[in-house]
Amino acid sequence: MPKLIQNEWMKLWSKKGTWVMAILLVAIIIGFQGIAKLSEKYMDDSRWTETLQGDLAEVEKELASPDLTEDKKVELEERKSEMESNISFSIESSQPQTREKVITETFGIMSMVTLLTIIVASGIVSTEFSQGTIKMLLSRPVKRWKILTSKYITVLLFCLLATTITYVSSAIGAFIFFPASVENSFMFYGTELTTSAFLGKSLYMMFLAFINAAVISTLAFMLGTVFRSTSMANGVSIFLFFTGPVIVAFLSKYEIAKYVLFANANLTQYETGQTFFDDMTMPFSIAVLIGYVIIFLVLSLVSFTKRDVTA
Amino acid sequence: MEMEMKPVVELKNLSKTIGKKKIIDDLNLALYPGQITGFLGPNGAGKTTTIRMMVGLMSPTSGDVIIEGKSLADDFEEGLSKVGVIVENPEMYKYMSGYKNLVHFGRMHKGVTKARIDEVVDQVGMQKRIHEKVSTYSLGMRQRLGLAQALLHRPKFLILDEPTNGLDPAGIREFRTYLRKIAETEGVSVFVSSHMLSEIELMCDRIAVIQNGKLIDIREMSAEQESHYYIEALPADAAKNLFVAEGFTVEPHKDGFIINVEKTRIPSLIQQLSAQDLQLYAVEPHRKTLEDQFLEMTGGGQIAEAHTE
Repeated sequence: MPKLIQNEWMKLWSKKGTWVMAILLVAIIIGFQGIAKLSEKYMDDSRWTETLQGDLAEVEKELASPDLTEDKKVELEERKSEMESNISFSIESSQPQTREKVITETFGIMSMVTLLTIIVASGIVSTEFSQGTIKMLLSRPVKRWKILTSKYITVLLFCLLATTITYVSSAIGAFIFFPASVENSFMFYGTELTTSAFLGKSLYMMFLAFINAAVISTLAFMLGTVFRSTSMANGVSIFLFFTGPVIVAFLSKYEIAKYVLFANANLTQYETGQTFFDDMTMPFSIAVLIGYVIIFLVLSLVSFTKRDVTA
Repeated sequence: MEMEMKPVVELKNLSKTIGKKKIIDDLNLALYPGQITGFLGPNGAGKTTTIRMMVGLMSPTSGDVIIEGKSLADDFEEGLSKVGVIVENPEMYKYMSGYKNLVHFGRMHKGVTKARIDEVVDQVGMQKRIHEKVSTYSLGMRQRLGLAQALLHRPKFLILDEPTNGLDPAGIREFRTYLRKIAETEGVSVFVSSHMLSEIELMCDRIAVIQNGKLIDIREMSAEQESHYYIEALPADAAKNLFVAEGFTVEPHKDGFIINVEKTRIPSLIQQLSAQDLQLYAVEPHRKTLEDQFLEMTGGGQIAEAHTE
């Protein structure tokens, strides 16, 4: 098995595209932070905070008036809570960026890693079919499940490597562009985080985002294996990756929406507090994700080991 | 003599049904060490399907492939470890060098060392360009690389599907000599499918012919065939009547006839023709080509297999 993984790894990095993706990843992350640094100079969020606070005061005044209908009152309450969260966000973003904060928020850019891993995962089996090399690969004294497993492990390794690259380049960028925190705490999604805790927190957030990327890539891996078409697997999984949350929001009236893959894939929602449903918990999501991953892998395995190669 | 040897490969009651169509129907075949067997058949006869079942790319609906006593269904890894394969065009990883391709496939077999890879590269004469990307290779070079990967693990059994596609005449000749050599010196059993009958004729010890999924004939190429002569004499009708009267089977060919006649009968036959005042233009031994035999066996089916995939 280690030899098979070595083979897959060699093939992956013999492709120019893989190198392009890796270099692009580093460039985008560091570029992003450079832009953030530049815009910090020109944007002043404190004025935005003032405007919001003015609006809030008006809403509060309206709420205080005695002759309000029940409906109107509910509407105003809603607007008020929305504004309050906007204000806390604007206060948070008007704080000067620090290294610790930037590094802790690195997970926000992990959708790049998901995207790249989707591309790798959907092609790793299907390109063997489209290029005809599958005949050479499977007419060997190696059982098919071993070949498939080595390919899946390679996808996970790539995902892990891309996650590490993201974290390291974000850290490098943070050191170049942003000063170390002078205070001993910073705001992180509305909660206060002590500066000394940033390393553990940032790694934990990256780990959760890694799980997200790995699960979506397992979907892409399954599509590529079952349909044996790279473009189809690529297209469908990237499309679902971007529209998934919209689909969940659309279905949010129904109980079933909680079981949709995309309502659960992003585990960072439990840390940032931006959950799809109030009554969902991390263990629930983990259980759902394990279920999906098992289904995807079984489908891939059955399709890969049972079907004849006619390509 | 060969029949007493233990076969390297046996196909036992091999059948394959796809949908309702029976692609391969109860195929039985044994292949022996040191022997080169040609596999012939018209379009869509089931050659590729048979070969794919022999290398684990397709699974038989019923029956079994046994390699050195190991059934592929029960012991896939052990069985296939003795087999070297080129299925149709050897499709290599084009974005890697020839050498990396060999390293890749070498890792999938037991006991392929670096030294062995270098040895095989030498054997197929690719030392100069082995570190260049496969995408820069000519078709002939890809064929050589294909052969190299099939030989890496010193197989007891080589399966070649259309191996000479894209080789120039010199390359084909070299390839043929090479196959002969490994069959004779290392006792490798070789199974070659090709649409080039003349190629098969020069290369093989015996041929297996498949049609509509059934094995219709296996014959030894070296076996003495019935003796045939081509005789051209005028008037043709009179000549024909004479042959028929003498009890020969007569087959029109060019301006004369081919008849099945023993060499020892020729002088008296010539005398008979002269006695009837027939004008004799030619008497020559006629060796049936493989193509003639093939068309005879398959009833004139097409030979070339379409490679549109």
